Amino acid sequence: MPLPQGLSQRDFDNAVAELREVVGDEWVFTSDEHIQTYRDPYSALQGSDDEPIPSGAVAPQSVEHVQGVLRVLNEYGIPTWAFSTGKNFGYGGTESRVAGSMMIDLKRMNRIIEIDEDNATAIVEAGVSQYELYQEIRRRGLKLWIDGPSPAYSSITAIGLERGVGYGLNGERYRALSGLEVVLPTGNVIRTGMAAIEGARTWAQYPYGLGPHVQGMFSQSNYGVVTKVGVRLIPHPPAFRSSLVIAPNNEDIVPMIDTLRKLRLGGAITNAVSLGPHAPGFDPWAGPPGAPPGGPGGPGMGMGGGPPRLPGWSFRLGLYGFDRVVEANWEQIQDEFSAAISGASYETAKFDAPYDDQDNWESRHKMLAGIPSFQETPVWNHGGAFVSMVLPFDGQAYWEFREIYDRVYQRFGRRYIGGPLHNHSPYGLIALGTAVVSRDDPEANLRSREMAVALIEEAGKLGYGEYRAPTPFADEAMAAYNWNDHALMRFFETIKDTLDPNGILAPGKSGIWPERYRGNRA
Amino acid sequence: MTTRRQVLKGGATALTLTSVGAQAFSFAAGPERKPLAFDRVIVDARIADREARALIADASAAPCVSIQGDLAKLWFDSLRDTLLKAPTVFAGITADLDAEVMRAFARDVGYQQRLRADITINVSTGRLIVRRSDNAARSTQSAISTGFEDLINFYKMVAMPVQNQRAQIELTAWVIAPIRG
Repeated sequence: MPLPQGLSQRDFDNAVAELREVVGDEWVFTSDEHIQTYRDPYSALQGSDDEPIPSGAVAPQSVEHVQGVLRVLNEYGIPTWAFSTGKNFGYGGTESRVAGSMMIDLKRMNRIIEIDEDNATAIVEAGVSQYELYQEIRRRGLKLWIDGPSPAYSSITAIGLERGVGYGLNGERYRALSGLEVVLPTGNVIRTGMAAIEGARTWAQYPYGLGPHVQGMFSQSNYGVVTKVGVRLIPHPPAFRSSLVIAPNNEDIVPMIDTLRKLRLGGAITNAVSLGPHAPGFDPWAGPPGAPPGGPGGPGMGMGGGPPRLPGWSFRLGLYGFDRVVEANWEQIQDEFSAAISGASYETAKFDAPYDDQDNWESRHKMLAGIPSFQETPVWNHGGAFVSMVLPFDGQAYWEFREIYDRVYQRFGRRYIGGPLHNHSPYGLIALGTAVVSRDDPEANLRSREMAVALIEEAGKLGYGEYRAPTPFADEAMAAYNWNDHALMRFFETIKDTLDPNGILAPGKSGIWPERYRGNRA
Repeated sequence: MTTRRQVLKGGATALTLTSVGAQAFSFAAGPERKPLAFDRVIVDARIADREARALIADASAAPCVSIQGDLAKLWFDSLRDTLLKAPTVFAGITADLDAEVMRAFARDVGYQQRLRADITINVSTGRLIVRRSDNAARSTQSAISTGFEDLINFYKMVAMPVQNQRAQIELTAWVIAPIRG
């Protein structure tokens, strides 16, 4: 177990004793057995000397606990990394940037403060998972959906703050957040937006409040520990149609994207769709793109030529609203895709409120509706680090991007087959590539890390950057944001140094390092 | 042709089980066999069909809980409360990802992943590689460890027939138990 840099064993022991006084003996973890569980099991740094092993973990249960923990960590200069219920697979898990960090585990902060059915909002603590909120909604018999499952154990707060993308109406999960309670690194507590009013009655109704909109400062950042959030839910629509749109040829991805853009911007399609290779007999054992062996993109695909030809593409589509509107939109959508893509086909199912049997729906319908489902968790036996680029909503741009990605993959003996493409909003796409992480092959992991960096660099040359970066690649991903000699990073650092003068909170998160660490940066 | 499953049900002779270890066979076929040392066994239905799960349940003398890649749902719906009510030892044969998710869940209620084995099956040859990633030597004397070995060996026999569409299967067997001391 590594100690925090520059700290003696004696000081560390004293710090642990003080943390135990704050949260109770049983909620400070320093044994090797426990520390193992706070490592990312699929770390891209696995098998290397660079994996940042924590020194321990502490699990506060209240805002006062969080304040007390930060006070102790400030006193001793111990770096920390906060997280809650999610696993963050593909983006670094719970992995910190600095070895010897004392992890802050927020799972005990799992109270559901309020659910307002009429206004479709809730206020929850940071450790509430999507499934736990759904359980409570069902227990009370409320007619609300959550949106954003997959996997449903993820934290409502964290998936929003990390700006994860989903499949339903709130594709950009950050947009579901409204009003935060935040413990700043120095221990001060603030609330943002309407929540900043004593006795606030519109906490989750309006995220902005008055003056600068600071909620975003705590998204993908290391400026504070978020302890409560307002969250926007989805009232049951009168009708819901769940469909699959299928294009039969490899080249169809271009008109599929362009037609989708037209329908998204035009308002006929309102959900965040996810496009991918159409594989009717999808084998859940196949693994993520690039996974060895046997799966799509595995070594068996061979090298050379353009990107692997696919047997087609598809995406899932949710339509919500009044019955006649849903049906009219569905008819128009089919007309548009059939006109643009020869041989386009469709699968569809219609549901009408009340949705008494929703727990028995197939998981593909649940995901679109916003009913937490774990059933589509793939049987991946290797992990991966996602390289997730924001692209224009343009078919030809993606076609060219796919070729460039595949060329980089081939340099590392792998293939990029394409997808998934998340259409998070009507205005853009996010293309995911995967650098596979092996549990038992450090050499392969080294190549994966090199490939991930190469993908980031190649995309940067095209003017593209990531929407979210796996923790180990945060510096490279942030380096792409280089306009005016990285002026944005200097701004981030100014804020960081002001709010966190001792530089203890998540140093290196999103590539933002406090002053005390910046001298070590390459 | 006699199948492994028929043998396990006592309908054939031991000689048909040429590729199965003696320990596994004696565990599986003998009328005086000892139940596995688990309070329940969790098996992903994607890697063991209904009949296989029934055989595992029978061998375990414990409930065999089926999941469909949805271990977390089982956790939130019932397993978490079960573990909090009374000390429980349970085993699983799942995807690696589920094993990792369960390890983190278990930690939060005072349990730990005590034993773990990564299993690779080459379906065409029937070759099966088991790699223990826990400290097997430390726990070889325990009933749990013996039961774990039995479970893996038993799974080799009962699960193979459902995996004929894939070239290679990788999965993880594990045991979760309360943290000692």
